[in-house]
Amino acid sequence: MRWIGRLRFLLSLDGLLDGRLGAASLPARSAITLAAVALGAAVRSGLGPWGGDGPYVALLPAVLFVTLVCGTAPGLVSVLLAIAAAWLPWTTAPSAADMGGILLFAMVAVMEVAAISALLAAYAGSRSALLREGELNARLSRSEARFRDVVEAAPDAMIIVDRRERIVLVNAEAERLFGHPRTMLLGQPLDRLMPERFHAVHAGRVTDFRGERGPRRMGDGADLFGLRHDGVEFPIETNVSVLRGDGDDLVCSVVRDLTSRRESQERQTLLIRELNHRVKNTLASVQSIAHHTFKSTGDPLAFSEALEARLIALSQSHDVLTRNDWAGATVRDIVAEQLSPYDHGPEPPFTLVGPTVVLGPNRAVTLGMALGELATNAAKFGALAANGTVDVSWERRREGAETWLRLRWTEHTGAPVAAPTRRGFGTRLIERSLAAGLRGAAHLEFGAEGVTCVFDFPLLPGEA
Amino acid sequence: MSAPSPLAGRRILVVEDEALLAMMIEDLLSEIGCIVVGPASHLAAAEAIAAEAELDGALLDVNLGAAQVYPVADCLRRRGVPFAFVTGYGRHGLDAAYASHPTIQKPFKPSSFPREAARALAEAAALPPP
Repeated sequence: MRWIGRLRFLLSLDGLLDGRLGAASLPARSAITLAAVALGAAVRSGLGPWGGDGPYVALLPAVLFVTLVCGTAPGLVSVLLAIAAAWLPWTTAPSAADMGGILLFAMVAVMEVAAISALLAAYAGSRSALLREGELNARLSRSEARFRDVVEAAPDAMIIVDRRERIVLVNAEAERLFGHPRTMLLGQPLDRLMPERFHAVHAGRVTDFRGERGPRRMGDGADLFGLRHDGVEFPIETNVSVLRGDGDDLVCSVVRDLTSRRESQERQTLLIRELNHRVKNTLASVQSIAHHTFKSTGDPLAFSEALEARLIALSQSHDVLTRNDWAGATVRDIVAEQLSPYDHGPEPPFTLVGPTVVLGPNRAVTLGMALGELATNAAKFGALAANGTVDVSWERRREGAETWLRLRWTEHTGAPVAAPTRRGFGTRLIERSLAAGLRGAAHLEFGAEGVTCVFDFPLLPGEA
Repeated sequence: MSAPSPLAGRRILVVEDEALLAMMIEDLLSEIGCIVVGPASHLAAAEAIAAEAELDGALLDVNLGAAQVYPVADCLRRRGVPFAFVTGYGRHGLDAAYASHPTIQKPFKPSSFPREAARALAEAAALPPP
């Protein structure tokens, strides 16, 4: 039955307008026009006496059909053809009465063509207006959907309120930030999202702001806070702008959570203070090293050599700490860092044996400096100068409620080593570093094989 | 030889967590005839000494690793022992309760340290009791 539907469409005004009867091309239009007029003329002559000399009524349907199907110009052509067809029966000149009939027919037929054309034109006009409106609506809803997608995807919370400060739109980030589901926010007063102490101030600002144009930033510098569903406040900054409408202005607030920015600012301030502290302390250490080195060395050359060695020991201790973000350093790393400058051959001239023990930053530097003194001494007079070896071992041990660390430095020279004639700054630095910096003790012996040194100090709770 | 320092023969507590610095302060004070108590390198040791030992004065490093020296300062203030802070932060870094307390700026000149210490401790002794 599809053809019925098709026929109905073809015969409908839409079908006629769309030229579905094949009236699109000039030959088709000409053929339809000729056929319709011929058929009308045939019907008229078939009517015989009823058709008589009467008006050319039988030709009017043909004109109607041609105008509907082919358009205005073919309709007018069909009127001319119809007159010609009506004329054919006469061989002599028509009478005055016949001329009147023809004239009447022509007028009626032309009016018919005009009326049908006007009707079709009016219909076509309203139809295209409808189409345009539909398209406009579709475009509008597409753009609104796009706007909503943008709002939803925004990384900042967006809240739109009406003139009574009731929430009419929120996005996903606003739900997340304030911890309320959308359904609990829509229609609610905006006050709900701010701590109570801001309510009065906010109401005042709203009145000021409604009159302004363009976006305005709030909370930049000023302390503004949002209120989460669990009652926790968090710092925010917000950009507020009025969305002008016909009589119903909306206000859109874009809210940004400042928690992490504030935290990183605080962290940075702390870091700078911490850095300042370390730099000052390091400079003070350098000053102290220079002061003591100067007092314990006789000539400028010895002074500069000793100072250099100690500054390198200090710097190496810092290297170990920097690798661990200044959180501390393992005893193994501290020892290895001080001995590694003497590792030239295929086999390292030292052995390191002991468990993993982590010391806090200041204590790591203190131990590093003491070990640096031992290493410098060994490189000048002891095992590291005479192809010997240094064995370093350490172990934890209980001492009452505390855990202590015992570290043993043993040099094997293979040749006797002379004990130093006087206690230099190195020895004092070792002994006093252990006492003042590590709350422990150092026991130094100059044996036949080289230096033997035992460090003994308590570990702090975090270190054991 | 210059005149003997006002600190000669006095018992001074030194609190400093940098071993090298503690050594230098100890040496500098010993050279002018001070009797150095400590040096204490961490809070617990410093508090124990501050509470018990016989003292004529104290020089306190503010930052002791993660801790700060204020409990020791409080204890000394209660006992009426004059003390001064030795700090890299200057006065602005001090706790509000001690914002106007005498300080010695770190790093300091070794040659003038004994004089500065004597001045700071004299200033501290002149402060009204709390």
